Amino acid sequence: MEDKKKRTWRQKTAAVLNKQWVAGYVFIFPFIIGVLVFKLAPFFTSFYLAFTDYSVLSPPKWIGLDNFRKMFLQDEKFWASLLVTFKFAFVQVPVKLAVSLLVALVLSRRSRAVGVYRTIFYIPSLMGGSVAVALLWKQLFAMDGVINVLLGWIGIPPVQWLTNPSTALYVLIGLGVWQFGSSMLIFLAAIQNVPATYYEAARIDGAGGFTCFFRITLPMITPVLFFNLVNQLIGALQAFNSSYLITSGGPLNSTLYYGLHLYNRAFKYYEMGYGCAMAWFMLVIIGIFTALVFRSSSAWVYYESEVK
Amino acid sequence: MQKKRWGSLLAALGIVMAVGLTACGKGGQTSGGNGSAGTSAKEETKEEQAAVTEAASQEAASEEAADETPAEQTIRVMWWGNQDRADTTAEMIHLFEEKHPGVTVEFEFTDWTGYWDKLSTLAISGNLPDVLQMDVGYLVQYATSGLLADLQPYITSGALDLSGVPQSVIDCGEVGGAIRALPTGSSAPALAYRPDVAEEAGVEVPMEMTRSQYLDLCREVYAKTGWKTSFYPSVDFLDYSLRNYGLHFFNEDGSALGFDDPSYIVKIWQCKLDGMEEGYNIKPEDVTSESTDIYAKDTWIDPLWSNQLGTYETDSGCELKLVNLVQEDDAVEPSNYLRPTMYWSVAEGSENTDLAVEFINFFVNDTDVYDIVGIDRGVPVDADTKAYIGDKLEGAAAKNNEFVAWLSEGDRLGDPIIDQSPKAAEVRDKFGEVTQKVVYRVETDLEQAAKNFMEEANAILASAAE
Repeated sequence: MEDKKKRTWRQKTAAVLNKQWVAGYVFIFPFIIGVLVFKLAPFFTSFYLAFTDYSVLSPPKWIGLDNFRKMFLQDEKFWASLLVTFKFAFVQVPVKLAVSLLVALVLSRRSRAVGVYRTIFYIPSLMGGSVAVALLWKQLFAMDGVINVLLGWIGIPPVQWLTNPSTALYVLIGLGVWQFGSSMLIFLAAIQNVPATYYEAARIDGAGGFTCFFRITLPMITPVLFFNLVNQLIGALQAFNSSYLITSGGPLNSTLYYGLHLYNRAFKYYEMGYGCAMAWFMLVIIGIFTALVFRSSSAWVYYESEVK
Repeated sequence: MQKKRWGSLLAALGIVMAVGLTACGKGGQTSGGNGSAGTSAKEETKEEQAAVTEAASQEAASEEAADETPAEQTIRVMWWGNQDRADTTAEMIHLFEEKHPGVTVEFEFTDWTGYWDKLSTLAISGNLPDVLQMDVGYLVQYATSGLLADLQPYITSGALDLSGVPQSVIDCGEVGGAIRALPTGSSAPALAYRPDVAEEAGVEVPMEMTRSQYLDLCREVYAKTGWKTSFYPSVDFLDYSLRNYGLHFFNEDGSALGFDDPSYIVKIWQCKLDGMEEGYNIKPEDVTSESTDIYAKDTWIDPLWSNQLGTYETDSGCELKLVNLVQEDDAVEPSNYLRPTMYWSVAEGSENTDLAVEFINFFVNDTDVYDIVGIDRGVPVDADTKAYIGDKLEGAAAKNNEFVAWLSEGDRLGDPIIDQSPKAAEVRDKFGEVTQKVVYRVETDLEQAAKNFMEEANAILASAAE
């Protein structure tokens, strides 16, 4: 009796396990767990915590909208950090896009060594997220760093890059721009997808390099430009690493990113609830900017498939 | 047979998941006598595997009566610090285990930043180690959250023998009327200077100076050698100045600032600005050093914590000497004080409080400990151990020890004060920011800036004290 029961049990399981969709779910199971535990749970928890006074060490206390009130009305560094972040994003993103597009154009030329160049130009991005690069950048721009030595050779006195409130942010922007590799690669792929026939036709009509670029290349890659713009904008608004590692927000809070201010509040002063509130406000801001970019896209992004 | 295998396999899988999940929830808590940080991850997986097999075998033998092994006790100890501290502390722990048969001490350590992240996650999950290293900046926060055990009963009963420890040192661990931590050792703020620069300038640096003597000295050295001083009006220095007048930065219970006249602040700001004007004090934008190499690049004389002397000497690559802090010309009380380098605390709700207390007692009173650890955690608090270690030190450690001994003589020490407000760090940082504006000459109305700061600081402190 028991043997029979067991067999049916095993047969049943086998029948279930042999279904194709089961294998699929089993394979994505680790990922689903990851999303649930590390993304969704913190996401909703932080929404709740945004309305609490939570010191991490003792349980959260519901305080309604007090965090937001404090944020908008009392915390002057909140506005200062928002301003710094906007300045950072609105300078870095266009410059970075321009540089990566330019490099992509150069590298799209056919030549034997082009593979090597592509690799070399991509290296900064490979190392980009790492702490070591940020620290290296700090060394480069130190008072006795390489940049000042180079300037010395051409007779320019050393500049206090990182301790001067008016230059420090630009050093960090420079670091961000330098890590143009991933957007460059995406541009490169797009440029190479533009059909050669367009250029041939243009040349026959007597178009030069500039005309080709502005009339053919640029319009053809606008979807990718759009993609890069959205990506970079979101990334820049969430910036944290470079300021944390290089300047800790100083001098005079001139590099205090929103993300860093949030981190200080949450982890240094143990105001986790306030930190969560700040995070949710940033989500709203990012949402607004992304929506604006999407709205504007119909005016300047060209899709081949589109019928006008 | 088949079924059983499936069952145990599933059980094992369940345990793996449970272990994995709890490990996440507890912020990667390890419990292992692993000797170095590098191996901890490996150890952890090993332990998980061990847990799995153990659980599986337990299930198989579930009917057997659980054999409880008596007298086997385990405590967990955690601290922050570098590899050297880890090595010596591990050795010390082995000594403790040797002297207490049947006791196992599990320990772990991380660097400073990681330590506080880890400790707070452990605290939330109610999983604090029995003995933990505590810092003056976090003590109130942890004590008022009810996470640290009161040591007073153990001191009274003699389980924690503090007969050789001055009351002023014990008081450093008092929060809200209970002793929540015990200093591991003392250090003191001091001025360190480069004797080679002083010699080059042909000046003597006395052990004790008033503010005007000090400034004259700085001018002279600057004129003769070009070396600047880097005196900076940080919150600590405001505090030293206030202590000279019998005041403190915070008041007794942390509900407000301990002074109500902005001129105390204006005075130390002005001192920095005047020095920058005259040239002998370095401008903030001219500072090139990272931190501990400051004597190599930016200054010949600068304050530090006496226990950090060795680090500064190594990183700056020059010999340094210690003298007392500068005293205000019209000082009525000494500004210096012995500060706890760090503390030991026992977690509230620890299952082995007695043993945890015994561990601290061992650290305080057993001279054998100091043959191993030296004065890495500060000059010992117990008089006998302090005397014991005194002769054995050399280099920077000896200088530190000598300096602390010198301070303890005569009338050179005031009472220590422990910040009682959970918002202390925020207020200190706020002062730092205003000061930065002042020294960068962005803020020029010093009087008003000082007033504004005091108003905001008092508001923050009052709101937290409610």
